[in-house]
Amino acid sequence: MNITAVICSVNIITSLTPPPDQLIDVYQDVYSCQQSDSILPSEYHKSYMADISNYFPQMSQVITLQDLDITQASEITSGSVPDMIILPTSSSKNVPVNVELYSMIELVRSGAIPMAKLEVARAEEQRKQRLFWCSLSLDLCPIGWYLPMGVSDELLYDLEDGLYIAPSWYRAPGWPLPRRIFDLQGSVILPLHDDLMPGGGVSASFDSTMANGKRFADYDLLPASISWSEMGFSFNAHRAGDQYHVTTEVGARALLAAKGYSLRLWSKNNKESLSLASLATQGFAWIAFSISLVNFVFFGAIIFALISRVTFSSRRSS
Amino acid sequence: MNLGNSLLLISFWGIWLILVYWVFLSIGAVLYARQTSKNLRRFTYSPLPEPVPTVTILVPAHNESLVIADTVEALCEQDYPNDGFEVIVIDDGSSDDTADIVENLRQRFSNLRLIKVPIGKGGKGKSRTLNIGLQYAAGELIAVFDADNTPERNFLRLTVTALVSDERLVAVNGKVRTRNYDATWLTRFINLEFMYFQWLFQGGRWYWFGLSSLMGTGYVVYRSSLDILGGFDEESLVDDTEMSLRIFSGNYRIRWVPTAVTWEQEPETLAVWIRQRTRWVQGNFSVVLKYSSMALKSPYPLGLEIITMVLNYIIFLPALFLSYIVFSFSISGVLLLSLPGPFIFLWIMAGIIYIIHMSFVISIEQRRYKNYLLAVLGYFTYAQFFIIVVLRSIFLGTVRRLRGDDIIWVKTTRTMENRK
Repeated sequence: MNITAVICSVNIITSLTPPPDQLIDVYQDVYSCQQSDSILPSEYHKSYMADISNYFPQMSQVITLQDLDITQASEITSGSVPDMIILPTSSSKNVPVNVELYSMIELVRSGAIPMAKLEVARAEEQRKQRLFWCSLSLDLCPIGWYLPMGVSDELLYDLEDGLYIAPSWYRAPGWPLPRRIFDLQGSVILPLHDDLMPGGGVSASFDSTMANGKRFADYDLLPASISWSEMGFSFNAHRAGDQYHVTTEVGARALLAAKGYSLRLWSKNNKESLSLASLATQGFAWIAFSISLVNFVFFGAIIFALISRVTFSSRRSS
Repeated sequence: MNLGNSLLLISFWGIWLILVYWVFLSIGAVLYARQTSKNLRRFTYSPLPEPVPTVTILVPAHNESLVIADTVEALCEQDYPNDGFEVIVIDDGSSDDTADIVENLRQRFSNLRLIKVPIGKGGKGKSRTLNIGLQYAAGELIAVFDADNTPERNFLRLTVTALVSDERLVAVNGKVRTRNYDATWLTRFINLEFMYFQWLFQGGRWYWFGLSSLMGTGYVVYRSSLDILGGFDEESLVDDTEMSLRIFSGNYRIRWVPTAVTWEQEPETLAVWIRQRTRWVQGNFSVVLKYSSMALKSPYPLGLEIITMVLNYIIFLPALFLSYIVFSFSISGVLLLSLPGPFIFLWIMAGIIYIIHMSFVISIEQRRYKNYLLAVLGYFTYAQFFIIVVLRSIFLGTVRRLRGDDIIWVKTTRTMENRK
């Protein structure tokens, strides 16, 4: 009976949650990361998003980026879709091109992995972004706070049918994106993570390349330590080689472990069967509600009419 | 589907499967109440069968000096032919003056007997004590009462009449009410819980499925059936549930008789209550494990009873606990809930239905405005304590299994009642 209390309470709390602007302030305080204004996708983008979604219902990727690097993509023909990016899995060299939507679809079909390059001119912004990625690599980012931040209200409106969107990279090189896949209101956000570019700057790519062993190689760009607080706990992470070690109390370690597991589960939860389960749950919820309503009326009538006149009470009841 | 929604889904199904079942039982409870009401006169004034079945009332007693006198008096003064029943108090190695009190009462009641288990050899559980008492029992029927029970005068007559009037039955259980219901806040809630539980789960189940279970006290069973079943299981912490399932495994029936009332003293402090309920839950876990393999062979009534217990103890309460976890992580921003559905309405309806079911029971049992208010309050307080009990039971049971410790019987502590 209390799960409905959970849902209702969450709804109430959600309605009381500070608006995005305030969340952004909190976010900046915690991570010292720069944020930017959210950008609405143009009508042009929206139409292509829909097309791509139709082509790739199981894994559509629409990444709105300004600068594109493509490596060993000889099949790609120039076009006028500057925000679609493709990178073959065997890439070793980045070549800026513009990508035709059709070609991109073909490439993705052939197993290419999208990759974006982001030029970050200022060292301070690079540092901030790296700080963020480092914390993400430790599973330390409070995703519940992050997601409302990373996707604006306007973009949330467009998050349908599994479109993956990385917002606000046009004007905000410091804008952080999560490293793992997230599901938001039924839509999956396939995020990017950064990688150090040989020629400088910061690029972003999908997590699969990270899994191949890439690490943050340039220690100069990695902070020696990260400190923050969350849910009443204080955390300190110190770099040792390409890894960070967290020093904190037992309760905070439990929190980290729980979040780590939740992230792993989260990333594996985008299954078709679960969608069916979701539908079944909604159906059962309506059935349960109908039954409850009938039961309420039934008992209401009984209590206030006949049965209340009858008692099986005994000598001790008053 | 994200993690938050997945956990929400699991807890929702875990909770609402049993809630829908409870709604179904509640209808049965209403119909059973109506049926009982219609036949109240016949139930109350039915003559005893001829010849009158002989009854042995067994009362296990371990350090029960605070309550035993009232119990014995209430039992010995039953409205039943005096040569038709005997009361045997089995003093289970008491270190207080329980035995002396009973010995003194023997001067007043000729059908009262006392059996003493030597000090140091007692306190090993109710089932063991009952088995000792069975060796001395002469009755065709065996009635079992806890030492803190004071049945109403017509209890034995009503239960025996009900038992012998239906050939399917091997046992009947009377209605257990709370004697000290005004002692503390806890006993007020227990009072409501007992009424609620019995009308829904005993009355409702009997109406729909012809199925009720023993409640540990205030029940009458055929001696011959007990012998066939092998007496009480001394390994079990819950003699009533274990015996119920054994009866069901033989495809026999137990009936709940709401007109036969026994008044019981309930724990007045939370610590005693938690210990008592932990024993019940641990015992029920063990019994479910013991009989689950047989449930498939006997889907009805044993399988149905096992499913009910699994839904109640193994699915519902853990799902409730999971819902709290989901809630906590949601408000802390770790989990995002976005599953669409009429969940807000269900939340409201769940509370209303609990309260209205309780109100129905209060209306037919104990119409006091306080009780209606307590029903609302209890939804948010007392009902939640059961999660603590189940978690404690799981923890202690796991530790016990890992250590290989024996099952320990925890006696419920009695209190001196303030008689008005």
